[in-house]
Amino acid sequence: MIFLYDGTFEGFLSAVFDAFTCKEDVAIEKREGWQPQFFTETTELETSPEKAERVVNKLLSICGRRGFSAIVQIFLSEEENAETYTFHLVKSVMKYGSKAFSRFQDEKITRAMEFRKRVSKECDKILGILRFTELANGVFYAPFEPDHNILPLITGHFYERLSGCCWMIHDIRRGNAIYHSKGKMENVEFVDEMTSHLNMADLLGKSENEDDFAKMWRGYFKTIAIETRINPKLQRQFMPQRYWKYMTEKKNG
Amino acid sequence: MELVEKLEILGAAAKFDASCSSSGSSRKGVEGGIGSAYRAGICHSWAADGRCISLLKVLFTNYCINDCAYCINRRSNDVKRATFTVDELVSLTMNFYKRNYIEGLFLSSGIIKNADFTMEKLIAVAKKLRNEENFHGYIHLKVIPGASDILIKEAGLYADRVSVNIELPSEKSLKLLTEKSKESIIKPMTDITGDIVENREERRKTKKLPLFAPAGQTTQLIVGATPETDRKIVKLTEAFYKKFSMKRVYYSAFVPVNSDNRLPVVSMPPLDREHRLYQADWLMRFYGFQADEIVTEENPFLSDDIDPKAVWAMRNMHLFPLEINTAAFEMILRVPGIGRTSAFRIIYARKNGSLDFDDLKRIGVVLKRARYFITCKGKMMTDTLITEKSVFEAMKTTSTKAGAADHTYEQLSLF
Repeated sequence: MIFLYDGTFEGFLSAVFDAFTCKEDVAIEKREGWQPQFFTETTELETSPEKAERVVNKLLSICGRRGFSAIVQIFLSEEENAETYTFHLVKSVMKYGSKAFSRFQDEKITRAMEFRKRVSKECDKILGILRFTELANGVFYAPFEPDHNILPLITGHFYERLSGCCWMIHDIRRGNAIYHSKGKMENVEFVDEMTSHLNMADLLGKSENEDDFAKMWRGYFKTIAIETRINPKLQRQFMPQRYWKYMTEKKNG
Repeated sequence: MELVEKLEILGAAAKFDASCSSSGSSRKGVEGGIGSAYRAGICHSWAADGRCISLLKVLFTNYCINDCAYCINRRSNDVKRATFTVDELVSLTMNFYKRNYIEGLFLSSGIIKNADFTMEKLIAVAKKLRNEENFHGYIHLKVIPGASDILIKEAGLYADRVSVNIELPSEKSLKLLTEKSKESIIKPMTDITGDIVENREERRKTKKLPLFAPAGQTTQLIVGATPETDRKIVKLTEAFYKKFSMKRVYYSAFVPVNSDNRLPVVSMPPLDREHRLYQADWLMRFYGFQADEIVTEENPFLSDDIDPKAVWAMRNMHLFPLEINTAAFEMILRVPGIGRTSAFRIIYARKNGSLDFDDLKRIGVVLKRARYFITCKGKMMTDTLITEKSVFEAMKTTSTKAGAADHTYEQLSLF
């Protein structure tokens, strides 16, 4: 039996709840893009916040915040079959408790933990290389295009760090953004799908001083490298080129 | 002079300092303020030489009254000089920080007038950031050798980390190449350690007391400018960790920037040697090794061909092989090819059932190296032939170049 869910984390958890009450062996797949197959029975599920919450509480009580956040990370990895691996891990956690995370004897779990590692690595990287631009309206704006769906995982860091600023972090690839002002964070509602993928700095303009600071940063970035040690390969190894697009020091200007 | 030009001069003047980390502090952000520290540290960019940029690393000024042989900013050199104002540095730090360019400020300086006068300038910047700008990001302040204890006490109240660079591994070398006395360096280190211990104890009684240098103290020394052995350097490092509870000792492969007949003539910085020293340093900090186990009196230099952990294991073959499913954590850590992450994973994973070589591979153990030192369920990995030659070949680092690249930046330091 295959359960089709709406693609959200809540929908997935709600499907997990239904899977546990179902007697058959179940797989969970996204509804979008699902190709019907012969001989496979599918059920389309409604997302139920109550069911999702019960799963969250259950998992928290078994493996704590750390374990739960690992499960979230694996789901948000958006890797191929991420749902299958997340579901497998959840089942193992129900069976073995926190010990499930170190069952390296189980290949699927090793793979799931590999996804988790990729996600947390990207989070760590982005915490460093995300770049804010001060817009003409005073908002500090950071566009980026992460491999994994990490926006919800990094906003807490900036909530604490840039408490005194209005800021917005924008996943241009997925068209999601979070806006912060005076201790409140909210999801940004874009007027339409197209706008949600546009760089707001081009739309709204930059503040008066913005170019001066960007220029000084670029100058500093250049001067700090030791000439006799130039090593572009090492630089790219730490700072993959696909992230350069939004990095001030890697732009001309 | 334009600020952009000052920044270039005083950034360039600071670039030889090896220390880059922004770790060890978990200073919290506050509502309405700017900044927080992140315990593991955060790298914000990587320069064209592959070194990470974490903090805005600059000198307050590159004017200096000293004339140390190895230093590019010595007073007898004809270089462009500049000095920041306190306000300029505060504005740069805040504006770079809000854009997430940096994790905070790392401020050092050439010595103007005297040690205390210079130290006061550095403190003024940190103080303004904390008290007027509500800044809670990372601050690393260099302590100027010879600065008085009262100023050090004040610096530690604003800074997350403080450091005094020893620069050279013996008193004799210091005398030969610098105008600093050993006393002027060891004294502030001792003061800092004392202040940190005192602060930790008093904070145990009352949490309200402000933190003193929560990320501790570090130092740096130049490798290859003077004739000391690796044993001397490793033993000195151990003493820094044990007696001064230092967080890090940085090594900096000597590169001549001045021609001076007191300095050795070298064409290339001893990068491989520096890399081996960092490996030795890691063994002491994370793997439970003593300095005497790493470099003996008979062999006072680290091996070029083989990393120090493998050298130790090969000297102690009588302690192996270890049974992975029962061995103590401390011993698993000492197996070549098993790092800390793998060692922890082994300990947890074996609670779920015994491990075989396939499991170890999934865990991330480098079996090519580890196989000579371990058994799984009583058996060695098939086709493992232990002879002096086979083990040596497996342990040999084909090229340390790749590894050394991690540290290519450590050149020489200034203050």
